[in-house]
Amino acid sequence: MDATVSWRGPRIAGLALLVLGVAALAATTQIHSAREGWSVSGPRFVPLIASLAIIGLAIAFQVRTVWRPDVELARFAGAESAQTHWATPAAIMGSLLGYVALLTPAGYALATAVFFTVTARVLGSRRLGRDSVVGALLGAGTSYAFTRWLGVRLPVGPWGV
Amino acid sequence: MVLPFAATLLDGFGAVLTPQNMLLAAAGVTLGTLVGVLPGIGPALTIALLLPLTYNFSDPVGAFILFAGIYAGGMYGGSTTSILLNTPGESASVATAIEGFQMAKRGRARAALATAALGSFVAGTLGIVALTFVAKPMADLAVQFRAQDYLALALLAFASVTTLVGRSMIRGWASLSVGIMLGCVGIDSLTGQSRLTFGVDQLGNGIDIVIVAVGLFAAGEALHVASKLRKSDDEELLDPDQAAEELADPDHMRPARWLGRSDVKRSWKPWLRGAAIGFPFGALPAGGAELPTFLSYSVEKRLTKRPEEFGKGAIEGVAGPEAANNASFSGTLVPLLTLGLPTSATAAIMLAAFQIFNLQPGPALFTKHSDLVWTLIASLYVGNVMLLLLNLPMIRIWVKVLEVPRALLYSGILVFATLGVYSLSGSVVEVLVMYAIGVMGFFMRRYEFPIAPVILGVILGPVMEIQFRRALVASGGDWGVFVERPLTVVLLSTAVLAIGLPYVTRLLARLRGRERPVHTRLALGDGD
Repeated sequence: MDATVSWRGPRIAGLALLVLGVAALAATTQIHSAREGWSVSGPRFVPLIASLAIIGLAIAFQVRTVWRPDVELARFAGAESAQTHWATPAAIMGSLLGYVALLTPAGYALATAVFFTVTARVLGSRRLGRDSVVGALLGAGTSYAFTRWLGVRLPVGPWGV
Repeated sequence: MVLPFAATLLDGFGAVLTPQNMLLAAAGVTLGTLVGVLPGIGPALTIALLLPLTYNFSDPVGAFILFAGIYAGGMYGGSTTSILLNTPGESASVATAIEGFQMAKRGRARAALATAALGSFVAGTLGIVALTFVAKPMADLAVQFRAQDYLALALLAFASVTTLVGRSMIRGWASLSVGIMLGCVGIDSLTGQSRLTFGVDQLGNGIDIVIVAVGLFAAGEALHVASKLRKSDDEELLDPDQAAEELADPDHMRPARWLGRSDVKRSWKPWLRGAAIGFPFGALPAGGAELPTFLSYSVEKRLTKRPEEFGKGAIEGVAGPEAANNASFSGTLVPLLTLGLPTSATAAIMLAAFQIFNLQPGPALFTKHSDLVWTLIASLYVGNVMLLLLNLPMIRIWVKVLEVPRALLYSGILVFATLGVYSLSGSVVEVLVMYAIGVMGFFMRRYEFPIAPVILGVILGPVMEIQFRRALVASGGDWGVFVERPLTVVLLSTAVLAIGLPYVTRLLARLRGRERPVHTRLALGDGD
């Protein structure tokens, strides 16, 4: 066991994979299949195999952090962690969720302008004036082009754009 | 001898070569390059982001021409970023970046860009010629395919992609399993039962491949880059017009220019070899261009008369992989058009584009919509020519795009990713699913889980399942149906061989007393 590398990240990733597999397996048991049951030609068979494979591979992935450990992966993950500023992706996820929440009530153009300006700031830009102008042009421009020329219906909000 | 399809191909050119369609081709090439040149964006994502542009086309011909241009531009844009910024948009451009960026550092960026563009053109054209010859006979053969053969082919694609791409078999198979699981979401087409929707009605139609591709590639990449943006050093963007003497390279004291005679002499054989390697690899269900590009790179490194230049900017190391990359895509069109099997992310997005016009690629496409197939092939020729005419003279504009501040660039990518997915169905739930898949892509990058098997699982998982169940129902539940036809047996045996290959190569190396390399992208499953 290499004591110089951290295994915390790979173990958490393996655990997340295991949770995904268990959730998929639980959902597979909920598939209604009175006639076919668990038959190989029924609707449950492939989801069952996929979820069992995810669970099995998640366990194998966890085992490899202890037995014949994949040190190269742990080093790679460690190097990634050292370069990571966690607050940035977390803030971007927050602004993405805010973007979706704003789309319908505020309309596409305004929501895009706000999202663009906020995200640019999260990513380190300090030129608020420039970013908001670019965001407004991007929102209004794409809204106009997509609704007018491409026939895509985007949320208009109280301002009609 | 007049080829039987020559007349239909000429008809295809007839449909493409109108002023309106030429304008569409030019617009496609320009847009494709504009998006493809953005760091971290490959052709698959370029096409996925620009897919909504075709929604309003009543005629698929115009849409295909636009798409062929977007694809050609996206591919070229990827090589520009690799050469000038050392930031490949996709794994297939990594080999180009190795020598291309070194060439640019020595003041030879224009030569690197030119050999990449010309190599793409030559190999793309050769690939399309090969496609022209192979597609129809292959479609005729594909008519005889039965459900069990399709199943075996899907299994072969799974086995080859999972074992050949990436470093670890466990992570490769885990990615594939997640992809198959995502492909199961929605209403089961044979029984009408809802599966893995977790009670969310909007997931009844399944998770579209565009949602998965945009989530994994655009949102995942944006989050990944964003997480490191504040702690990373500034990228080094090289000016293609900067002459060698300004870069103080004593070996190349001459002004920056496009290809010289010696460059062409050193490039043409790698172009042809790259095309010869790329096309068959693309045509096999082995998933994309990563393997042929690295293979081409190592072939050129082995054959060169100037091995000392490799690693310092050898033009052969740009010419070969770029040619292989382009020819590989023409190859992926063979299983896509003839069998309806997309074996790469780009091909999967192309399939989505077909489906927008209610067209289903496969053997029937050649009989029912033969005119459209040949129009698409003619569009690819035209896109290639247009790329060459437009892009090299416009290199200054593409460099300006690379100078866009990263904060604005990635904010814009997220805006277009959201727009692309929202345009699909106007569903906010699908946008949220795309974000969730983006978070998954972010963590996959951090722990080196390969992305390609997820995409393949989403695309081919449902195909495999339906064919598997059909074969069993047709045979009355008799498993012998999977070994009764020689074609099925050959395909299944090849899949088993593909799984065993990494272990055999490692065993052979051990028997020969060789150490395995410390870290190579294409070391077969050496993580396990």
